[in-house]
Amino acid sequence: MMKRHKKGEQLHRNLISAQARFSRVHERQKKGAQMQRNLMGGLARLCLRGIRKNHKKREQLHRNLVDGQARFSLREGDNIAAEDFISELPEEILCYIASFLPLREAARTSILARKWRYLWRSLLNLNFDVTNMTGNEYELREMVTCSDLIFRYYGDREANLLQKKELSFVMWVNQVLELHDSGKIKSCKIDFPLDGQYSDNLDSCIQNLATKGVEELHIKLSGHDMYRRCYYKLCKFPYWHFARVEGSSSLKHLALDYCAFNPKNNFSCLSNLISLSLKHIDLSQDDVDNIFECTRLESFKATICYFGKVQLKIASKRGNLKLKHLNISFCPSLEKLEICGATNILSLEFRGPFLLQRISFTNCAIPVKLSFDSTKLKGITYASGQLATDFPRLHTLSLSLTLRHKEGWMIPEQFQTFSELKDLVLRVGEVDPEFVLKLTIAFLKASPVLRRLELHLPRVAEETASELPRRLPFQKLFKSNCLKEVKMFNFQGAPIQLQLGTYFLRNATGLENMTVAEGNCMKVMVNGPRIADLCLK
Amino acid sequence: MASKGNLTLKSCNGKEFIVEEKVAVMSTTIKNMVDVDDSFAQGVIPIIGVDGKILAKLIEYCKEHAEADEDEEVKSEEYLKKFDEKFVDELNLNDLYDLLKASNYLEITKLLNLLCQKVASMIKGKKPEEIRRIFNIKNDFTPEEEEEINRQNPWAF
Repeated sequence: MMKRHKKGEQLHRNLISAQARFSRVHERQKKGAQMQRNLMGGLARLCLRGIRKNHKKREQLHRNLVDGQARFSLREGDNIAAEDFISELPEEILCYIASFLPLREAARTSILARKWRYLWRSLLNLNFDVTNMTGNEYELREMVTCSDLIFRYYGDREANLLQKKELSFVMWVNQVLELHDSGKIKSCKIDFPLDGQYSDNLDSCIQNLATKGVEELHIKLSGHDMYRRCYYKLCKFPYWHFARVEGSSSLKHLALDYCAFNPKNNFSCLSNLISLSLKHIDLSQDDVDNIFECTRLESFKATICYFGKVQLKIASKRGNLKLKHLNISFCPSLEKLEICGATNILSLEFRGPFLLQRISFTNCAIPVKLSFDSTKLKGITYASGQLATDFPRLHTLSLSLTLRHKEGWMIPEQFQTFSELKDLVLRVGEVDPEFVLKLTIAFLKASPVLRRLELHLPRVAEETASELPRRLPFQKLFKSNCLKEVKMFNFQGAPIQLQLGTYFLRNATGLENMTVAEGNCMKVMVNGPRIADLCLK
Repeated sequence: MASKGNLTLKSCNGKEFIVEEKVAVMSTTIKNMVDVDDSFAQGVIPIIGVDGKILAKLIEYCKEHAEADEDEEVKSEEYLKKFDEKFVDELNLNDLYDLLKASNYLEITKLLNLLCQKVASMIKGKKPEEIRRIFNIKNDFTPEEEEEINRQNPWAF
């Protein structure tokens, strides 16, 4: 305990000295960018120093950063087979192994030996995408995405080229499906930009898959410029093939992106459907009603879907819904949402700038996981007050605040208590950094059992980056020993952000792990090594 | 004789293991045996074609996962992931094959998945020549046949 405390203090001193260095540098050279780089470097050095003390920790961290493939990689030399036992394994196992390979590589195993020649024809998972067809991701993807208006309207030669690629993709899918000679396909993914002229091809493909008892289906036909939806017909998704199969429909998971999807009242024939994810799809209220007649549906996700009306009702004529997870994101025009009879609901997610103004629940369970943008949902006033009353059992909350008007920046004196909240994600954009600091502290005060906090900080403007903030009255603030993990994204190293870091180090006595990342979330995912870990164990 | 709630598993070379029922029924095959015939639950269950060494490995794996299924707090997902990683890392190829066959026969789906993934990761990104070398696969195609395969699926090569 003492040791940790000391270490915490040491780090805190380091942070302060980094801050001081920051302001000194600023006096000498007025280049803001350069300065920030220095600071980031300083911080990273600090982090490393902290970690270096504990070799094991660092090794582990390094291990974590290396991706899964490397982890599994073979220690060659000491593990080479003396005899060909692998080919003696039962065919079903070999086939199962091949199912974990990308389609291209699975097909390539046919050249290994006679025993392997036809194995790939009974694969359980088929993944049709550009990479698997050409082995080159960029060539076609780039061509297709920027093709659209330019190529279609201005260049015949390019348009022909594009059509050739589309045709060769369709032929490839047909060929592989034709060669496939076992009665079962578990999952299938089709990811290629195709429009309405290929409806018949998709139709026969889905029919084939339905007879082979496919359980998981991803159809992603987008990739073109979205303007196209005005000009072109979309591929129809023929869900009815699943109704014609003997016995009950096998389909459990369905994801559609950019196709025409009109569930009629026979849609409930997909009696085993558990999750449905729709993107870039137009849906009417009738369509939605028909979707929720599927009695096993547990998860529904709609992203960038057009609902036609401003109002949407989620209910079933057959009684209560099985629905557990509902996600409505970036759906324009939608303003009111009504949810009836969702007695099993666990999580709700609403994202996007076009925002729901009213959500009403009738005869529903109280969700424990909530994620929303609060631009219009009465913003911070709602989050600090009614929210905790509306969702008393909340244990995960993810909140995005984009407040464009100054008046939204008022933080109420007292927040309602989130008595069970364990996970909190705050995304704050376009606001005063000091506001973030105060808001975070207010949330911490209101959440006595919070364990994990993730902060996505707003960008600090270059000209204000070096302004030293007013000292906040830290002594008034409470201490938390529940908080174990803090993550800060978009950390530029401005004094105000350092102050926030200092706050956690000082007041969260149980803190085990603090992550500071320069970029936003996505960037960090890609550039893993950028993450610096402050370990205070 | 196993006490109540425990089962005795016997390997093909005569080694006996007493395990908790919840661990043993990770295997669908054993679960079906116990469900259908009560006498199995009292007596000894012979595990045909699996020797003591492999059976011990299987039990080690099932024990960790059965306990994790029961209590998420103690054995988190992360812990399990690390355990799985270490488990497959320490296997040599022969044990890997034996475990594959055993987990397939005993229908321990999670383990079968893990092991197949491991083999797939050894194949992934490698040229046919390399794959043949690692697994000691003898190329029994004639040059003409090889050419034919290449011609049939040009997209794959």
